[in-house]
Amino acid sequence: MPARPPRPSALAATRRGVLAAGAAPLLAQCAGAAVVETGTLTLGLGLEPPTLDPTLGAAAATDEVVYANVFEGLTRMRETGAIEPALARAWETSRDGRTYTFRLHPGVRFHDGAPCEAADVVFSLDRARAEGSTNAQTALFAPIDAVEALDPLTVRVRLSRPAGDFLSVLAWGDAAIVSRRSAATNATDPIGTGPFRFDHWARGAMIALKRNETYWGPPAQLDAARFVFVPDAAAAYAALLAGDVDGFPDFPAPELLQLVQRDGRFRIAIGASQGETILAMNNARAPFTDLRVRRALSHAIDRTAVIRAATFGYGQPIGAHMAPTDPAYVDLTGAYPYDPARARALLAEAGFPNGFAARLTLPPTGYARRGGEVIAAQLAAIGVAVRIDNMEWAQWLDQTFANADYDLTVVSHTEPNDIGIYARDDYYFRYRSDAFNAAMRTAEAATAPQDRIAALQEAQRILSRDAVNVFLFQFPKLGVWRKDVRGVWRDAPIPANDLTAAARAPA
Amino acid sequence: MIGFLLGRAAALGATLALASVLIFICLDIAPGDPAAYMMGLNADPAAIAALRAELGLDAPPLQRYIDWIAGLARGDFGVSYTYRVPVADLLWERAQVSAPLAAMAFLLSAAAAFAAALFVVARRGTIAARVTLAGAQAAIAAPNFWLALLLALTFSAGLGWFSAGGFPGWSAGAGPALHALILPAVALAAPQAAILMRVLRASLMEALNEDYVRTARAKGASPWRALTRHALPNALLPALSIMGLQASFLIAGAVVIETVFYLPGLGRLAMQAIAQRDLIVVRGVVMALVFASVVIAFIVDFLYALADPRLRRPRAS
Amino acid sequence: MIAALRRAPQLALGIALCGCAVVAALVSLVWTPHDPAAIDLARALAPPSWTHPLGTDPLGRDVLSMVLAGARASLGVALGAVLIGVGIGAPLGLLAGVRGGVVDGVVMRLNDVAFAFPALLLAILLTSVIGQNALNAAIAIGVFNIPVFARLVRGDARALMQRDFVLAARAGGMSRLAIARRHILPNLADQVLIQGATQVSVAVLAEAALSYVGIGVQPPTPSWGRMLSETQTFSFLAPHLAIAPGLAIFATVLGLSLLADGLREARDPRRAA
Repeated sequence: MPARPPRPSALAATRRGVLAAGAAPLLAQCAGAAVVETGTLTLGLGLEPPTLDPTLGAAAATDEVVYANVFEGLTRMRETGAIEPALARAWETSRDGRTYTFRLHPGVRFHDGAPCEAADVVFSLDRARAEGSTNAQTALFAPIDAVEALDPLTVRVRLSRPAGDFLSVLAWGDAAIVSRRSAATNATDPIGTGPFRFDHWARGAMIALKRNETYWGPPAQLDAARFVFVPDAAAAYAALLAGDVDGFPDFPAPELLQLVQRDGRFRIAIGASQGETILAMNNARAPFTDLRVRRALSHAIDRTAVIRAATFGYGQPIGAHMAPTDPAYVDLTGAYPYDPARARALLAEAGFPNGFAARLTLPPTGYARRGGEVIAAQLAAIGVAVRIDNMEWAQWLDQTFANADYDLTVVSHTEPNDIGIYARDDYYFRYRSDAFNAAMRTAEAATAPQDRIAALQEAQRILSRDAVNVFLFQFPKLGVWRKDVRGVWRDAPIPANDLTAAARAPA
Repeated sequence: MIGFLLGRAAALGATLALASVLIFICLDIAPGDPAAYMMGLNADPAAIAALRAELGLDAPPLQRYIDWIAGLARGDFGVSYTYRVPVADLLWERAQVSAPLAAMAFLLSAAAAFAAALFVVARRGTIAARVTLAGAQAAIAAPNFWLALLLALTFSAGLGWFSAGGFPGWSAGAGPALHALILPAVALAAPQAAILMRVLRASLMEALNEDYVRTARAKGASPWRALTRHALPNALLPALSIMGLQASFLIAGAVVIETVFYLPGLGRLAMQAIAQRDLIVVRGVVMALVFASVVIAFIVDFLYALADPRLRRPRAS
Repeated sequence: MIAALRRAPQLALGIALCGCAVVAALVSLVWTPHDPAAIDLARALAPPSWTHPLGTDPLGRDVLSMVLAGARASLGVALGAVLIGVGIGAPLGLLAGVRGGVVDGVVMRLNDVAFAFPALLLAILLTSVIGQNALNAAIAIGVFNIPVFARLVRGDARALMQRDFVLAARAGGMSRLAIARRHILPNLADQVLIQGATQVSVAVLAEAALSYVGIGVQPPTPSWGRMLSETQTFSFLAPHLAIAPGLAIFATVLGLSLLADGLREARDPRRAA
């Protein structure tokens, strides 16, 4: 019998295997132990947030719980990535793009009952950009020169230079408006202005939120939301089938989506995240200092195969460090088509007719480990002998990221609009380009959206031309939900689960 | 007896002191930085440095060790770098899952092992006894995460008798909390029960061949009575030392089971803390676990001494 | 020998199962049906067939070849771990048992500490200090074998030191070292061998557990533990993927424990079941 590629029917046939004999037949007639509790939504997450203060540290897991639910900023990001008013109902920008005047919603109160006014905005932004701040994105607030309260409902922000992405920076969780009284304890007992208030946290197990009955805007439809932490992919599948959770915003076992789909109780929502997954190269270390070598590697990687291995085919190829859902995206995926022969020729031209040896460090994520094995095999085909070095996150952050002691690595950069990292000379790619830096400066200074987009597109073309990294794919967001769950995000422009519009409704 | 207890208590203290030094050194030379972990891929180096200072990671190692030990002496385990809550609170929360789970697994394992051992010895040679023995071999040879997953799929996803994992907390009542621990306890207990059963069986078989049991049989004791009244008491000592080792293993060794059933236990707390380099939490958990297992060893020694007066001098095996 | 095996069918089965694993490991050095590292996504997750008797994995690699080659890493790590345990633990135990006194006290205290540490957590911790690869996995598992052998050897050595032939040798002026070499070591060898077989089986399972928590043998080298943990979720889609490495682990562990039981009985027929 010849080997067949996996088709749904072929997979179905193998499902009645011996080993799962106890389980598989039972799965088919699953009774469903869950009692549907309308008004409460239970979400499964892979990682537990270390703290619930979005202005402290960069844990995506924190935003996944509190963004838009517990904490709000002056602006907020919609599912589409569009920037909308939040605590600021309106704003004016000065002609030179250096002064923003925000008008706040009246009657907004923190969960502890204190009013949220201009003084709190001043406090929050000053705290984020202060010397010695532990806000992970301090650099983004660097353009701010002064923040002042003109009256209790008006705030004026002066910038030292025009910053085209300032309104979207304000939508990040790191720019959440916090109260002076509770800022120090938000890590464990978050007090925000959002439609949900923090209820309780059983560390290691789950976090519960309940509806804020005195919310200033349209109230949340859910009575309560629970975030349950399921660290294991197979356990996530079992939890879903057993009805312990109502859905996973990011289902950790993409290989099982077909089975979930066939179950009938669930709906699958495949969206896009802002995560650019890359094969990063150490541009300061030979032989990756040579443009021809970097281009050779770009030609040597078959993105489709990497996507199939890493995320089982979900995810869209990219050609530069920009997500296809971004308005400034240019399609550069054709710049380096998969062509091992061309790759070998480029290597020979660079003086490596027999290839060379390199080390590939991989952080402990499924996509990196699975994708890394395929990448190693594809590079071996052009003569680059890759040694895989699996690492924990802490090790990876220390050696690969902080000290740039690596040749190659695979990682997904999940922050939105983060192409600016290529302008940081000490960043772990060790990429230096005056042309790129100039393009980024133009983008930052642009006040008209079309100028900004043009500059960002130029920046992408430079990255592609310089083959800084091998740009692999946009990370997918694989949502799995019970059919009665409504109003949850399909796409994730930032790592967040905005539940303001979520509801339970019969199909 | 007092002398024996004092000697053992001194040994306990020495073990704890040595363990604290080892764990501190081991964690201190591990590459990685809790501040870098928390600040992610986009962080400003200045912000990372600020966080390091805030967490007190700048102090020299000896200073941090002394601070830590001084804190421990006062019962202060420090404050978690990542969670920002006292480590003692975390340990207490997690012990409320790990300790009952270990206790349940221990009781299950002991009950199953004693019942099965008596059964296979009383019915030795029968098909049922052979099947039981083969089952025990299988329970030992199956990787535990695999066994756990199979249980979750069959009884949770399939039959719907249990949750697939998670823990509702004791505030939800003892019923739901214990219910949530049943499958994990079974998965944890199965290989331990099999090991204990084999040890018990071997001791029972040996005892049955001893003269006093033969004498009892000759005097007309029924086979069952000879087994339970005469052989079993003598088989208890070897079982006791195995059970002591198993008790400490059950508290510390549940990492894998806690992951499969996503239980908030001590093992997972430690594993997550290692990954995030929340060193102060790792140290706290490890010390707590070492303490638990040293205390258990102490109790086992004590029981041994009670049962066997010849052993009242320490370590005269 | 044959008669002995006939008397102890368990031992025969144990030897056969362990033999299979060792043969698989050796054969894979020179031959596997396919290259166990050859990725072919076009053939991913193929069911068993003549070309791929155990099917292919999610990356299209031949499962049979991986299981054969995986024997090498799994047995290698397990044997390495036990050798570390014997190599360090046995001399320490011998020293403690023969010398007694302060030496004994120090060695046994260290032993208590090692026993008191939560093994799997410490193995995870150790690999984050020394890095993740097959050798380090063996070291991390091996560390916890040291006290096992130290305790075993010490207990037996102490018992032997009281035996008449040793007392006679000491009265005859033989040094403790010479006694240890001439009289104690040979008498301990089979005990260590029996315990060794049991510990190798424990180490095979430990390697699987380490792989499950994401550390252990590095790809592309296959190991049974990694194959099993990586294909966990596929057991719903393609059960053959998990069955092969699962059975390999199961059979090897079973074989080793039958071997240990058989050896124990052969040595001490009184305890025979």
